[in-house]
Amino acid sequence: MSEEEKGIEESMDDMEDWEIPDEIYSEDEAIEIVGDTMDSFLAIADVSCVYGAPLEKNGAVLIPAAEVLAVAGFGVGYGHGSGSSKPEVACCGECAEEELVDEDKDEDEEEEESGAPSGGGGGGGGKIFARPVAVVVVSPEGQVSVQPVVDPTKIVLAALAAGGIMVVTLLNLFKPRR
Amino acid sequence: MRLLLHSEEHEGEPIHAPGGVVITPQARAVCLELPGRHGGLVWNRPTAVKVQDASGQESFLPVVDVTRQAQISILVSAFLSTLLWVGIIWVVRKLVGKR
Repeated sequence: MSEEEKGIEESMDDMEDWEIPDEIYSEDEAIEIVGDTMDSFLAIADVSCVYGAPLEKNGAVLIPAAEVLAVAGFGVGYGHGSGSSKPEVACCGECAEEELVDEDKDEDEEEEESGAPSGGGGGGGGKIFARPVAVVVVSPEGQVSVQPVVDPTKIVLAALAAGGIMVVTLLNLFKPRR
Repeated sequence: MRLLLHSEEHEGEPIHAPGGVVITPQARAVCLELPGRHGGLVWNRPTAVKVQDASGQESFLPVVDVTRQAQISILVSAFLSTLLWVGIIWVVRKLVGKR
């Protein structure tokens, strides 16, 4: 693992330390969790995520620099219905009277069982891309230079894509018209 | 739907290097926050390093992304040369059509 990757990993420790609670009982709690996650996510905008820790080798100091792109999305939903959670059963008058007597007996139990049913859920996802851009080199004499990090694969891929589009466009132009 | 887009410039902690040189890294972050804090995008990249030598003189060294520059120049040159070819073919076809 390179030093800049280590630096990014260290800066992501805050996000790793953060734990999702087993149960969330209210919408406010869920929103608070999303807010905390968002704050941790925005911490990627810090300069420490872009520059790695300085490395010393043969008297020279190397500071790696990388580009970081992070994308994330979260969603939380919470809702509750109205009325009793017990299903209503249609019956005759006598039964209704009996039920009334039963209700008087189990008033406390009934209060516990009744109430609006509720539910909620949430989810999210994200991705972090990091790419080395340059290395700041300080020589033992104190000369500072910025050495770029070139990724030939990305350049070749861009050239192939551009060339392919160009060839297809020109071939379409040279096609005989019907 | 309101999007919150903002750009921030950050300066890191000064790094003391050999020869009495002090290097201060600088970066720029572009943040896009979705309304309701339901997500977003953060694009953070190094921009320059501020170099202060032993005599106290300050200078800035830009951090150039050569790979990105090469990619953009290849795509732009391909687009422009395609446009040029399309123009040439169009002119030639017009001239041949006139005859």
